[in-house]
Amino acid sequence: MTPLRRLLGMLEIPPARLTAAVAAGSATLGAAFALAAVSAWLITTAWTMPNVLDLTVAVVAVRGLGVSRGVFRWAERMLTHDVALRGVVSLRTNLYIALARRRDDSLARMRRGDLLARLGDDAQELGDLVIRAIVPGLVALVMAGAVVVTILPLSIPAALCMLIALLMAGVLAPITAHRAARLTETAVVTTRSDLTADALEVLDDASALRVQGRLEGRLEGLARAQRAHDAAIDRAALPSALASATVPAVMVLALLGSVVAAGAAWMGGGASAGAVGVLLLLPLSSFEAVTTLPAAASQLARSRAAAGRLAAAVGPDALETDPAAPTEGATRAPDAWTGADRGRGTAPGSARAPVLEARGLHAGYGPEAVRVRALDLHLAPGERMAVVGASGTGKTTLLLTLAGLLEPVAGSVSLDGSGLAHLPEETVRERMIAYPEDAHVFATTLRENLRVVRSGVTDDVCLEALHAVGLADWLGMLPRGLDSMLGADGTTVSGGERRRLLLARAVVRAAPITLLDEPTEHLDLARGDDLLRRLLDPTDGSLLPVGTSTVVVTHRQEAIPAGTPVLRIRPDGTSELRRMP
Amino acid sequence: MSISRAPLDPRLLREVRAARVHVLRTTALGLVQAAAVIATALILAHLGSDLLVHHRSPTDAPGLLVGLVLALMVRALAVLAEQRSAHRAATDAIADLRGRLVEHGARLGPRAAAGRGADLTTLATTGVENLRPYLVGYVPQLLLSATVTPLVLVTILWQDPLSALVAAVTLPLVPLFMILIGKLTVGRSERLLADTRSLWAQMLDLVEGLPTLRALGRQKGPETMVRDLGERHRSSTMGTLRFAFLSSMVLELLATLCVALVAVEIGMRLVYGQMELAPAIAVLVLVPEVYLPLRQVGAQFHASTDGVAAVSASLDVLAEPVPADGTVDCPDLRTSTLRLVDVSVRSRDGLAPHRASLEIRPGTVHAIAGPSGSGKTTAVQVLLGLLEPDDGRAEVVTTDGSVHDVRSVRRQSFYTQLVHLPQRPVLPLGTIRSVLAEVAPEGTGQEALEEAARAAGLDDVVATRGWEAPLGRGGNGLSLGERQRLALARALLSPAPVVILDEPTAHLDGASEERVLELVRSLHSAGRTVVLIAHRSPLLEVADVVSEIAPTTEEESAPAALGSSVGTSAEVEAGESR
Repeated sequence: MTPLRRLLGMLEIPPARLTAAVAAGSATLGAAFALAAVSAWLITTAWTMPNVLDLTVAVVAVRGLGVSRGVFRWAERMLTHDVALRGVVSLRTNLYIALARRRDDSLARMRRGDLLARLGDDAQELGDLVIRAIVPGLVALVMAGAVVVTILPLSIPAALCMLIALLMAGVLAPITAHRAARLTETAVVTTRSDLTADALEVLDDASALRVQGRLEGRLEGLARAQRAHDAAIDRAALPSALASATVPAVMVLALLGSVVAAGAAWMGGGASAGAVGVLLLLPLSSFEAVTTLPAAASQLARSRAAAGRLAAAVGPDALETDPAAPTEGATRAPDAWTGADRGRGTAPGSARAPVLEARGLHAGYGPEAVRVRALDLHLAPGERMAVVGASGTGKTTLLLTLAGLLEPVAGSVSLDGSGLAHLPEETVRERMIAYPEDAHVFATTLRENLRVVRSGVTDDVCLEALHAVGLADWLGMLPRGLDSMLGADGTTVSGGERRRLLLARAVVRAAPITLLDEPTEHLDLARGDDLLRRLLDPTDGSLLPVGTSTVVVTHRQEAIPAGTPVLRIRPDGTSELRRMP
Repeated sequence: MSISRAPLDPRLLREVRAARVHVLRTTALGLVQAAAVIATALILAHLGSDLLVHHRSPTDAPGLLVGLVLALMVRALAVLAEQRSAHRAATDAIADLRGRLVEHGARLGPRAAAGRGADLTTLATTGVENLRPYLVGYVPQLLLSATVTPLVLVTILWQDPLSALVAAVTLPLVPLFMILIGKLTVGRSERLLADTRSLWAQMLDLVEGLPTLRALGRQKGPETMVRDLGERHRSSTMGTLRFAFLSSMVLELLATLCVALVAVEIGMRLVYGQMELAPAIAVLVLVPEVYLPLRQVGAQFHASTDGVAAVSASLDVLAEPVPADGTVDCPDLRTSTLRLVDVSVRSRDGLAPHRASLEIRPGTVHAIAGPSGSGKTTAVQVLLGLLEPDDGRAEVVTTDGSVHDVRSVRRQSFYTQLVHLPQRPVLPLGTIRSVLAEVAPEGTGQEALEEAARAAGLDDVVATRGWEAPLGRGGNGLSLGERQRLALARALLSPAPVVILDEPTAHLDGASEERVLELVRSLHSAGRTVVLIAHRSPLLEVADVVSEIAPTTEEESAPAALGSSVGTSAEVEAGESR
């Protein structure tokens, strides 16, 4: 199955709704086409000066058709957009489920922007396929049939000319448009990303470039990238223009066929004046439906590219997920995160911490990018360990691998002797949680941002955690306390506050094993060192309960309490474990 | 909004040559298309009336048939030329605007970026691309409605004045109804749009947080929220569309209604023999053409709003004046003092820095300290003349006591005498060797390069990757810490008398930090002036002078700035360092 068909399946479009949209679209264009036919018949018949009463039906029909088109158009627009938007909602939910249930570590490997681009823009491209390609394409098919069937009883040769013209317009124009769209897509993928990167760099680093005297040079580089992009995109201009000129060109054939046929029919005496009028004038109104096809073809090219990216993101097993699984009716308030989380987030400290072990562990984002090599590690229950190493040695990568979010390149990680690969994901998360430094702060209240780690957390627990991590002052300044909105539209959170908020999550969660990534970065030394000491002292229960195990990645070796086991990662990826003297 | 902005910004035509040429060419081609449409209708009417009235077969008038074919071909060619020209013009206009935006934005300095932030970069990258659908789709149709519509209307008037009257009466109803519908729905649809946007943002927020939810083991609840928010977004969007599509309904309605009225009206006159057949056919063919460009304008309306918005935003940016370069050469910085006098810069929360004064004497190590968000980096930008302070001034003072305001100094003569290392290192493309060699004075040997690399802690990077390791964009291929060490080595090799280091230890561990301190000491002993921006204490210990920079205290700042926005400037700093 092609990616496009697979993704279209995820739209779950009900045939009845699609049919209704196509019917409304056909009625819209049909009304215009019928108006042209009936008015042509009306005036040529009227010229023969018949009894006025013979024209009554036609006059009423013309007036009715004149009014109905607008109404049909409105219905068609609404029905089409509704079916497309419903499809996008289903698609997005299915993609979300597929990504959330993927057993492998693809999610950890995805860049943040990519995730947004996939579920945002690319999902939209598939919805646009319904609006711009599927519905108009089906309508064009219906209308082409209607046009040929209308002309056929009047003149077979004229109908034949019309059929050929429609086929040319319906096939050639979309093909050239598709080619233009593909060329544009290629240009966007290849040259535009360079161009965008250049433009961003100049704007972001403008001051530094000016001081370094390199601004002029970079602007010239930008102009060169722009010229390369222009040349690439210019290749699409001709096919794209050809596609729009196809309809007026093929009209020559249809009109010529019709005019000659009308002559033959009238001279032969077999046709009425009305029929001649229809033959003469109808070709000019017969191509409205096929004019939408070039745009449909470009949309198809874009949607196909989007489907390819989406299929790669969700992986091969996406269809095995069950879209019926989500329960209905969950809302964001009061506790938004419950959903399907059955019995998770048990009370703090209630379970004995398991033993975390790594054997011959190679961690990295692939065999060619191994950052940590041949690591053996044993973290006893209640033990607290620091991980240090020069910048870029892969401490974060190690943390993600220990937590089971990134698959080991080689070796294994186990909890109480069972390998992570053999444990259900739920069980792993119940016992061990990692807090990566780039964790998301949700655009919701401060309370929900803490509750995300554990259901049914009381305000007291939240406040206690915020106090413990030193955010009491910050909380005091927030306009609405725990109800303050965070994120883009709410209070912006500074780097240091963010780190401590993530730490407060860990405090609220109090998992048997907690893995922390640079929790004191962006803090002033005194406060950061104090937090670090309280995290690493196994007898200190002010942040994490005594008896739970902790691994803390940090830069601040000076602040590590004496006696703490310190895992040092060397630049070559090997490591050594020593107690802090 | 549709009414408040002109559909074709006159500034665009004045400023962007490609757009001007495009409009002229499209207008000319519009006239050609109008002529072709009119010729087609008249020939068809002539053929029809010859046939029905005079029993003369179309095949007996090959001249007319050829004329018909020619008219249609000319129309097709005009469309081809117009579309091709439109694509070219769009490409040229986008290139032109993007280039000018980036250059202007860069020259406006850090203030422009801070005030507008992501907006300017979005505009320069994706925003200007909205010009393509606007110039290719919308503008040609707009111009056709200014050429084809009136010319066809005049032809109808010539053929049959009464029909022209019907068309002329219904035509003004189009803009009238559009304005009425716009007025009726504007408040409502803006409210709905805001709703829609917020639901969309919530949805994207959940999507963006998926990796975090997964790390917390909570990824299996929110899918119901994704569906729920999606459903609410859909129904909210449909609510907006219900009104948005009313305008397209009115357009279609008026267009077909006019055709119907004309058809019935000429039909009735034909029945009573009050009209000839030829003009009747011509009018019937021409009436829909009056409305066609208007309908297309309506259909392309959405393309136009984004395009018009991009154009006006771009031209607004370009209209902002760029601070002028100075006129006098910068004094020798080996002997001159750099000075800030009572400098204040407005930030989101108040003033940061607030009345900062400091004096950097030649040959000293001068640390600028202060809490996050106090305006340390901003103070240096003022010192370098990159940013105009809201109050106070930056000066260069020579040994003989003459004072130059930084703004009066030719920037290039100033910048060639200093090395500036921002928090996020900015490196040229090339190899490790070329990046280092280009700042060193002529004739610097391999030994000096190696020495600098060792001092900056770059030797292990060179050992594993070699001197010729290629660096991508912004030093891509190296980690942030490695890039910083490379930038430090550059500072060391450069002969410039003043070295400014902004948080040089931010991404380094303890051992590398020690090397930076060593490096600062060696710069100092070479007689160079070192300016350190720091909030880590070890750096402050190597400084001869420490200036504390402070923002406005809470009591001093405006009441409106209190509360909700606490900590934002700290975030700006953190953002820069990431």
